Amino acid sequence: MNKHYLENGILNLKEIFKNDICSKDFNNFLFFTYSIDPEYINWFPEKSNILFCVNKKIHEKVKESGFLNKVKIKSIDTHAKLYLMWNKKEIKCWTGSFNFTKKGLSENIEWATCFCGELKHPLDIQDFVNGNLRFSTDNLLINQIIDFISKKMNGNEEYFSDNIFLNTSFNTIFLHNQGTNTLRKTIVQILKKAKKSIKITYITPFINKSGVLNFTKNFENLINPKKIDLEIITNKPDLSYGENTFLKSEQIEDLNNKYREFKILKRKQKKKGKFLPNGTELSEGFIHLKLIHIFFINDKGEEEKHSIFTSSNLTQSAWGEDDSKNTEIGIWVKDEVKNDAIHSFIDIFRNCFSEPDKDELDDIDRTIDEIENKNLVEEYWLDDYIKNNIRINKNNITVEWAKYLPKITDLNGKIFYKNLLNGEITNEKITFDKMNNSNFCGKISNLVKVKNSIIDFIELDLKSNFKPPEFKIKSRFINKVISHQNKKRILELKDKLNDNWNEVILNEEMITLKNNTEIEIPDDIKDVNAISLRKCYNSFEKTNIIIKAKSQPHLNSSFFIDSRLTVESLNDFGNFIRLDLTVNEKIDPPFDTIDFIDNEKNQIDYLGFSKNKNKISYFFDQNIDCEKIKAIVKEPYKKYFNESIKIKIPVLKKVNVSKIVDVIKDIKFIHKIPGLDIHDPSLIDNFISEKTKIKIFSPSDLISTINSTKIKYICKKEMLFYNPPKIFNLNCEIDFIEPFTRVSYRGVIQVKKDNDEINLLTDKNSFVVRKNIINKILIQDKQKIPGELPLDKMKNNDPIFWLLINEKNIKTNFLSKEFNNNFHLDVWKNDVKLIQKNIFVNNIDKSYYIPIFKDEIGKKIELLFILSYNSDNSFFSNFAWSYRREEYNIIRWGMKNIKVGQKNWSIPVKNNNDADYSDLYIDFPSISKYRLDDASRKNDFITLISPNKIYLHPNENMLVCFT
Amino acid sequence: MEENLLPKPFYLTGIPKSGERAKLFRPKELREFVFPEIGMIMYPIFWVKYTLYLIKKGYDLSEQKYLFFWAQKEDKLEPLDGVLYYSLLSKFLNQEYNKIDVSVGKRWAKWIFKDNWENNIINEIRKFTRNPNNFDYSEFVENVFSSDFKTDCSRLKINLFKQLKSEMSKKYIPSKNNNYNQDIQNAIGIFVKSLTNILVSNKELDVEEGSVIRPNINFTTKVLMNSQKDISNLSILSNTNFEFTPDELKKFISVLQNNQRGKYFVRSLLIISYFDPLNHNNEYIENKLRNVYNIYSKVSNFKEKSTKKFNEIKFDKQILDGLEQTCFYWELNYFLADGEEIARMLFKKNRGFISEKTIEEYISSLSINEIENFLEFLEALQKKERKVFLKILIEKLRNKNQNDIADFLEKLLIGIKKYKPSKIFLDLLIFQGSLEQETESLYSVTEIPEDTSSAFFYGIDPMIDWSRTVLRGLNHE
Repeated sequence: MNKHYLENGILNLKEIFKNDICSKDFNNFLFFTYSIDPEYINWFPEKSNILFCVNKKIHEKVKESGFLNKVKIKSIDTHAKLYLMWNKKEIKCWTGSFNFTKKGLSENIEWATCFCGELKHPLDIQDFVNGNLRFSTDNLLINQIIDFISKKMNGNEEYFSDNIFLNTSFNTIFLHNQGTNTLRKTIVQILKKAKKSIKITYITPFINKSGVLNFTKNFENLINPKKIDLEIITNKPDLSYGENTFLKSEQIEDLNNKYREFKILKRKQKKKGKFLPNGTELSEGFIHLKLIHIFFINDKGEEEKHSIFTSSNLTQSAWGEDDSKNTEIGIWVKDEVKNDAIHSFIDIFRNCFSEPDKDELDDIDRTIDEIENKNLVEEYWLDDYIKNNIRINKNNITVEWAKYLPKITDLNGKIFYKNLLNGEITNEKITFDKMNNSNFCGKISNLVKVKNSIIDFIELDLKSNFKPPEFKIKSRFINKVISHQNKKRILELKDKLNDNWNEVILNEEMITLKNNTEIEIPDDIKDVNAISLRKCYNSFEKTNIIIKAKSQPHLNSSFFIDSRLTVESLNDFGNFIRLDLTVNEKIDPPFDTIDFIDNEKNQIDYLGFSKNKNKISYFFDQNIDCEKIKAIVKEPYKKYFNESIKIKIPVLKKVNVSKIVDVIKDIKFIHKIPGLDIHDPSLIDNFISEKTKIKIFSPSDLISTINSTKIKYICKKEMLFYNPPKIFNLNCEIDFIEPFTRVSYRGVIQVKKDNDEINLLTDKNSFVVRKNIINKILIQDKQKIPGELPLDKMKNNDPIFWLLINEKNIKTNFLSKEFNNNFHLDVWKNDVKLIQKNIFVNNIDKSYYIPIFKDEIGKKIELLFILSYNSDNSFFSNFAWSYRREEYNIIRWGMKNIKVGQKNWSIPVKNNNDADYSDLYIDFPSISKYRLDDASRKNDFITLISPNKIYLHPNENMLVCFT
Repeated sequence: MEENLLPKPFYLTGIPKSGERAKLFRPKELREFVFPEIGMIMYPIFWVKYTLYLIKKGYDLSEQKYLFFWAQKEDKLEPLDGVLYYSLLSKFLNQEYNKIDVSVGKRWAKWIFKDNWENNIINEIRKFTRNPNNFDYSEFVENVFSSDFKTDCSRLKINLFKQLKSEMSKKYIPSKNNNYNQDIQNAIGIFVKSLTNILVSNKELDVEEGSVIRPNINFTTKVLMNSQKDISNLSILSNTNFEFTPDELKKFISVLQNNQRGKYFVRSLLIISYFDPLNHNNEYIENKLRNVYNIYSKVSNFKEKSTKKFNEIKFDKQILDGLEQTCFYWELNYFLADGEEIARMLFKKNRGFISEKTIEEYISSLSINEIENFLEFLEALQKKERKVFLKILIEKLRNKNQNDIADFLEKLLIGIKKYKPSKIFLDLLIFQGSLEQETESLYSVTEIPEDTSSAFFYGIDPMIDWSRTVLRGLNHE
């Protein structure tokens, strides 16, 4: 049965996944997932290293199960499901919509995929915390996943996968919803091209109105919602659903009014909901897969389809913008053929779903009401209490801890600071003292010391006997749990509330319980406003809590402190409007962290800037055409200072003088690879990889106009999160680049005025760094030389030896399988491109022969080898071409030798009239005579000498390729 | 071309469960020897008569793919001989005159009709007959048909409302004498005919095959008609009257007595009847049946008391002589169900490795209710009569080539002589393949059942219900 299903692409996930774990092929496991069933921990081989990154609820569940001795757990609020398993050499990564639970593995309908890779070096679980794991494997998708997990674990930005998202054309891209939220950006990017017939199908088990609105919010300024059909394929909700995880009928109606069509499709009943039209039977289990499929007609009138396999439900928790949202991932499928298949799948899958009619919508409404009414409590965890009670100012951190709260002791912690400009994270240890009023207080020393520093998060270590979660009865249900008996008020702990509680908290009074199911409310508590039920361990246990900082007490003033606008004249450069902005002294913003717009929100470009302590000055064209200019704080400060100021522009007399600055702003500096001069400079970007050094050049006429010592360039990595620009001298090469990064640069003319160094800016230019794939091009120059050369008998255009490049001698360092048979070699001899002649001999390895002729003796030969790809497809266009430059000086060395300069070898010259020239053959021991005869017939420069040998008489510009 | 539903390397998960019930302890239910062809789901005995009626009318039962909607003879479709027609008719008579409700398909027809469809249709039919010219067909469609079916029609651009209106409005003619029952019956007929036309004329509609009453058809053809080539002997039963006459029932019992499988059924009918199902609920009767062998042994006039409830019906001596044996089979079936239940609970708690001690401790941890019957059976099996019956059963099974089950029971027979219950239980679990020996005293659980819901002795409730119908019919109730 399983085989039949596998043929249809339906996995018996439990069987396969279990086998991967139990097989003992892997001894390291990192599961980064939302939920696990602890009994499956039995599957892992003894002595394997296991780390679960799961939410605190699951952490508690594993703790309860007694498996903590076998696995390590880190509390991370993730809804993504990523499963890594590896040994010393290989790594396997599973991902999908499935949790590591019985339902996820064997009951639900989910999506799943797995990728395998080779490890470049042994990988330790601890490496994930240390970070810097970008190219650990030969599989780019796994690398992105590793980077994502690692960054999530140590609190850094996921810029590796962001760069792949931004700067590559791979057909499969890993997405996430963290800081830079590429998941959201992808939807926007896709829909930018949409013109009409836009239909978004979202398969998801859970959905809420704010989730839908948040999902569509970002592209509503691109497309009128009335042009969008939104189709949701989902389950019919039942009482197992949580609150706010499905839509009520009036919400469906609201959404239907907002979009052109908003359609909910729920699973059909019985057989019709299980059998696809092709007869394939699916589990009747829960639809838990989450897939977004977008179809539209683009601006060229073509149909376009995109798909994102994701962990995100269509809910506020997944698509909201606050810090409390779930951690989600996605895989963006761009490939046309794959998207056609997904489109067909949805067409087929849709047959198992139907639109609820009025009765069913009423039924759904009743179910949702029941869900809302049955859930009497809110769960509280220690983190929630700490979050609500932590206060931070510049010098102190206080945990205000009332006596009725769970008992905590031995509180210690660390504050983690983040430098907004370079992302560097540092920490400061905090020692807490217990105050008389049961509060805890610790001193902070470093917060105000470093500029651009913010509190990223606070980690607290403490001991507590609190066994989470605490049940807090929702205020509207308080009367429901209190009964009145014989003038007494009794708190009844029935149904869900019936548990082994140790403490009950009535308002702010804690009462210790001893196996009570009915608790009499003391008379001194007049009105019961709050009831909580708490369990306690017998002893105090260590726990660790991480709290994201909500506020930044040290940034207590605004971003802009002062502004001043003047007109300034700069000797050779004419007049400028100068805007001096004084900024908050706790920050040191680079010039490109502030944007300027006019009243119509058009961007205003500045011509230059200068910086002096906490003052940045911007220089604008004096003919600027607006009354007011608005300065807006950009990333990375926007999150902390969402502010702007307006500055009035004085009315100035318009001048119509051509200034040098007008020339400067339109000048484009260019980048070159030192040592690579190629016939078509536009191809240079193809060669840029992480191994390339780049030099920036200013136009030559600019150098002659201005003292070149004043000419510099500004360079920065363009990423989704902020990267500061740096100024370099022109002779300084760029070599700090990583693959898949876009580097932008612009020229800078520095002008000194009083104490200011004013930087006038040229136009922006940029390049993308590709991944290096070719390690080495090995030229076999000694292999095809004759034993003796009868020079006197030879004509000037006779070859005297061959240079050979064999395909197998092109060494790759990455993804070698895809690389095979996909490269193309061009050779330039003394700046003349050699014309390739293919000789088909059915050779396993392609080999290129470059002839060196008799008349080249005494000359210097310059050779440039360029290795590019046959197909510049979505995969190969992300990898750099490679080149190699070689020089050969062919010298007649006395009468007896021809020597090759720089190389330590020579060819003996045979001074004998009987000398045989037949030594200069090319031998093919494994090729049949038939093949060689055939090749000879088709190529007039071939003379067949003997069955396995070929004599060639090539033209001077010929590159012979045996294939 | 991708064959997968999703393009590689993406996959769907969600292979359906096999639907087979876990067999951790019980190799097979032995209903064959107590009430053959009576399963967990059976429908009123009326549908046995209906089956005979179809046969009498010359319908080939093997050709009835869509019997729920219509009966088919060659190319001719007859909705008025379909299950739906009689279900609706019965529902109407039940609503109107509180007659026995034999309607079926409540769950099966959910793909086409809404929940409570029988009542909804009758309500709409009543409205239709009251005012056929101004009948609101859109409301009819909305109230009767499931959203699944309506969505299918909408996707296939089938206007259900229009088609139903055009079919029903032209065919209905009220009775001349305003006979309400006649009008409703006509209207039901028109509805089922119209529906048939819609389902047949719109070939794109994926009409589900089925009759719903397959278990009753099986009982009719495989037990009642077991040894008969024609049904002339059963013609009295070949009708579609919802109620049974005493003559019909006499014939029913008399025919069953003529074949071996029928004899088993009749014995169980007599056993259940002893406990007076007309005056007791199923729970009471089931409690009694658990102990039926002891009751039979202790009550000297069991046979007389039981047969008396069937008025003048004569029972074959062979049937009456076999009652004790059947009582033992009942008891054995309960034992197998109990063992299965205990095994499922045991494996729920112990998913890895199990030792004999684990089983011992587990058994001793169970409450009396949970383990009492199981242990009592093992103890009682020490007695000679039961052993003899078990040996006879083993012989019967071997004759039927059911050697696996025979071996299992043999193992049980040997075990009770030598071992304590925990060891017998362990050995039978190993025999069943649910446990695999790892070391001398340690066993691994080979299969963790996905579905560990309670194990029952399936089919008892329908059997009691049928017994009740028979007794009621014989007593003109």
